[in-house]
Amino acid sequence: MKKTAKLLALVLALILVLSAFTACGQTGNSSSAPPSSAGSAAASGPDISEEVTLTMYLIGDRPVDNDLVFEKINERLKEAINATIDVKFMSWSEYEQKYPLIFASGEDWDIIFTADWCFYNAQATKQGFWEITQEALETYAPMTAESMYPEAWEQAKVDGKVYMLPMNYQELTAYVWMARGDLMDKYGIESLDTFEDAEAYMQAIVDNEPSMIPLDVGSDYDRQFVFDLMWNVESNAKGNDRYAVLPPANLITCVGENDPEANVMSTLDTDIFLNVLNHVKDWKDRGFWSKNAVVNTQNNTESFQAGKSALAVMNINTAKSLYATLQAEHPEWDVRVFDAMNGAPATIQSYLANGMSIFSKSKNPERALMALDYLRNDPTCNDLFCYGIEGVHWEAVGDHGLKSLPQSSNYAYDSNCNWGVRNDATWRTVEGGIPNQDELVENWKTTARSGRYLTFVFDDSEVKNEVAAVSEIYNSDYKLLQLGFTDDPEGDIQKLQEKLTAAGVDKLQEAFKTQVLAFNESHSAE
Amino acid sequence: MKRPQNAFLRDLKENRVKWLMLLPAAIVVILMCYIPMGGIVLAFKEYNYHDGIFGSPWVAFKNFEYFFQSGKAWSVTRNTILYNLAFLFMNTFLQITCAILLSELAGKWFKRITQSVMFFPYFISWVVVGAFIYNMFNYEFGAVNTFLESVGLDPVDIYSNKAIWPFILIGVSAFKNVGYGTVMYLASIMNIDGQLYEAADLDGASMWQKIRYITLPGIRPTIVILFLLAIGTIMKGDFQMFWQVTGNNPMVLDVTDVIDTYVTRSLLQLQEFGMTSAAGLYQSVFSFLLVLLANKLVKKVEPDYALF
Repeated sequence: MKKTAKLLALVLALILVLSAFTACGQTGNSSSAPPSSAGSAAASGPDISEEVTLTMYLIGDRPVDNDLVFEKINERLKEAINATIDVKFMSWSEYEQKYPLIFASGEDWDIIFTADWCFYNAQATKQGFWEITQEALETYAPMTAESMYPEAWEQAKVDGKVYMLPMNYQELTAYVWMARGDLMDKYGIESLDTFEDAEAYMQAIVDNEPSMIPLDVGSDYDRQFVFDLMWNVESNAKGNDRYAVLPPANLITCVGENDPEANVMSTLDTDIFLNVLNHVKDWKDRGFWSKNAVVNTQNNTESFQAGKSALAVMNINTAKSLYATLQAEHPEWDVRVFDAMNGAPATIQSYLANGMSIFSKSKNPERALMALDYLRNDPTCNDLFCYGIEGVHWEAVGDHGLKSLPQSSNYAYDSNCNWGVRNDATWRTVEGGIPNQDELVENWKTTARSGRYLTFVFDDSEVKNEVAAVSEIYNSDYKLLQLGFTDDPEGDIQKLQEKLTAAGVDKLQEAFKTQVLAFNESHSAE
Repeated sequence: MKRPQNAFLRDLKENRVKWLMLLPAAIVVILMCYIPMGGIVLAFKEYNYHDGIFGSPWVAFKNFEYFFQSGKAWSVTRNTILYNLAFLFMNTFLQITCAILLSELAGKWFKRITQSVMFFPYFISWVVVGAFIYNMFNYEFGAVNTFLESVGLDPVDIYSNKAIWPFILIGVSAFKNVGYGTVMYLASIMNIDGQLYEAADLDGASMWQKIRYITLPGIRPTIVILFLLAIGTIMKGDFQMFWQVTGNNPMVLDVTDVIDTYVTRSLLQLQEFGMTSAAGLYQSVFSFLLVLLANKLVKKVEPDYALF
């Protein structure tokens, strides 16, 4: 009996060693003994003999044709790295709650979208992500290792370690207005390039279109767009004394951009806050958005798309895809896009604005990295993920352009949370997109700045209680001010300052100051 | 030492069917309530995924500080308790009233249908209720204001009116929970011996007298037990209800903010599991003390009805 067992073990071991050397396709040594994988990993190149299914989390709603697109991507991945991807979605309305939960839930998944605005630092410091070492990158993602911008790799470091593959794409962000051309013509408005023009347009809507809300901003992330626009203009007017709001935005902390002393303060303490507040208050009082905007959960682009509002404010990148959709759905609206920056400089985004990471408890982190390598760099996979199926959703126009086909409403251009794998090398822009897009971008490029503190990362480990208390204020009282809900601007600012003091903002600012000084030390001014 | 063990074993043997019937419930309680209780340690730890629940470093009471720092701990605790007391009394009153009315009704079909219709809201999610409320009270296009304008009155801005929200919340809580409780009280009324009513009829008792002297005393044990159970959750705001129905509205926070919503707003961006657990522990400990206290009171007045 014992002898048979020994013999069996020997034969098994022999088979394992053989299969490791030949590494041929699907011999399926999956269920046998663990020593085999250790043995084969030591051998040359990544072992892809075992077929794996990787689970990838994206943010947003599942596009109608998502499964069709991923069927094609999986065909390619199966052949190249013997893996397939199963995509799961968390919608925009719930991602803030759900994102951290899936790390703690014990669920088995592998890849996730991340960004500096989407929990990258929070999860990286909590060891939620798998560390991507230079060595792993070269072994498992050779194409990425070659094409990665060195600055992007540097930016992705948290305590000297990288946990994300940042997008390979330089992005300019600026806000634009999207307006109804038919209504503009009706009320004789020619452009919305200045705040006064925009006001005139919205006033015309208030006066003449009782069934519409001019700019139906919601209580979620878009609540701060108008406030930010006005803030940027006021701040920019101060020239070299302009303010830089320090990330994360929920701590409402800013610093004079060129202040060598780094005198950190709350945005409420700045000399421009009152002006900005009065401006938004004026818009709110004139009925440009709902009296119930603070409880409105629909964001302003959705409302615009549904025909309930006449104007929407959004990021240029959102505008690109929305414009294409609306041209198809409502050509009679004659949608037009205008620069909403009012002279404030556009921001050159950090590469961390979009990226992909691997779960620290992923069962197949290496294969996940290989899959990401293909999604980023392989033209077939990248095109599919970013724009859909060629011939169904889009058709190529030259090497760097594409035309959206009618089917693209089922898989819209650049909107399936593919932003983390954008790649300048293979990027295509939409032909027949926003007609004045080039003009807008050229205009922004002349003044665009990358922002002194764009890559500043606040370490909140010593001041968590203060962060919680200030966040609470940001999510309640400050939200009201951002939407202009105040009857007594000066009084409310003062009240809020007192609340912030009670919440321990001084200790928080002290921590900010120390870290900003340290940051300036290591990142000397450009 | 030996005798009680033997007695227990004997009991186990004699009543094995009853013990067996208890088993599923016991397993569920152990799995769902007792084992997760180990997670309480999180309240005193700085959690990270890598070290897990038990490996993460201890931080003593640091996780509790934020809750008291901004001075809102008292006002949200007060709101939570007052709302739950209001819900408890209002709902119990309505549930008993409806149960008695239904039990007095003659028509079987009418009774059944009413009961089902009342029960139905219990199954509607708070998100949907929140959407109802928004569509009713929205300033520009809400049903209430559209109606007011059509009859020539001025529109009202409900979402900035602090005084009205406690009533709305008590109202929707009743809307959702009355049907559920009614069924429980109705079952309890059905259990009252019919002979008592027959005897009362012979003695010429009026309907009101029968309710006062037979029905109410008959369901008293149910009332007391449901009351004691409700006390246990008095420190927990119904998060879904407060968040969805008010739409997380900062303008009326003074009167609608409860512990759960406050903690959510504080930690939404921070994602600190330890701090969330700390808030949960605070609620649980207080609830536990309240249950002990309430039980003691009941024991003094009605020793038979106390939980333990």
